[in-house]
Amino acid sequence: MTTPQQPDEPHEQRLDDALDRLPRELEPPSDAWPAVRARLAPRSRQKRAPFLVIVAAAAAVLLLTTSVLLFRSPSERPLLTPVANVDTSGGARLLSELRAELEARRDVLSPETIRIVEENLRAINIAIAQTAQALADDPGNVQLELMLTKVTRQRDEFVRETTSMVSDL
Amino acid sequence: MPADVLRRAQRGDEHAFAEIYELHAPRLYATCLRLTGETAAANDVLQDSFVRAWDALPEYRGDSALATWLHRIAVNASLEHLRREARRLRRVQPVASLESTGAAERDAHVAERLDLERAIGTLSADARVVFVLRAVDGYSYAEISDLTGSSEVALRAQFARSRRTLAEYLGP
Repeated sequence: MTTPQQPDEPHEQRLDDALDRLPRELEPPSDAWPAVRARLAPRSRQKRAPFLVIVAAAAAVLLLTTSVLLFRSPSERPLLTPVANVDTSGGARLLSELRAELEARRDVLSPETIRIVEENLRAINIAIAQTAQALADDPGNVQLELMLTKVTRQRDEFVRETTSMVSDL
Repeated sequence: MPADVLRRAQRGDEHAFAEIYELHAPRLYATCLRLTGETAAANDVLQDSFVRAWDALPEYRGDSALATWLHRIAVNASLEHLRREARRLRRVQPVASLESTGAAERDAHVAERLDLERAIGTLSADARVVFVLRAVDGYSYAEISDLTGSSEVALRAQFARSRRTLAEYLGP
């Protein structure tokens, strides 16, 4: 922190005098501390570990389903007509919200937590990109299309859940 | 604050954390109140800040002073509150409690201080954040830029406009 600049105009002197007299401390409401105390989680029950487990588990499920699909041989694919076009960009807003929450919580989240979340996000996005690429290479594959829809939905659900958990910390 | 208070709080001692609260809550509350512009919101943000601090305390390594670390948490929580609020905030109300202090009302300096609180409350939320962090809490433009995502050039311009606005509000 630094000292703010000196006034450029004489008429701003009154403002600076008033600023000097502004109290830097104000008494909080008397009910604030009891409310804080009631919300303090005992150290042993803090949710950092479950949080990481859930994040990792969600990503693992996502990657597993995608990997199974990607390594399936072409002969096993059903020859059906695609049911719908898949929109893989719908999660951009959710991802943006999660990144904003992570940025806002940098002071209270451990670097390890942030690293794991970001790594999982990267892994999920790679999984989706690979599935989308597979579908682009084989546009008639309904199973790929269904899987891409499912994986994208899982991604959005995962991001929404993670955002909620981060914002609750 | 005794050195072992922080260590005890880090290990989960709520009494030690209460000491930390007693020492730092008034400064954090003043900032929360000026940034949010609402007593109820400031109370909520203050509580959230200390709950977050409690959760993160075991990982606090003393890279910055505890007061700075706590203040940054409170500023972040206040900014999040402002981001969530789409509606225009009601005006700053620390005057509500200060106005009822009887003898203090007759003090010209107190009256001037209340005028300034009111004047700060007339600024937009964005302008208020920059002005309070810079002029009241002494943050550098670089620090405010990190917190808000605005460029330092934009922040300097915003701050200069706010100074002119407030100087005019207070009069010569």
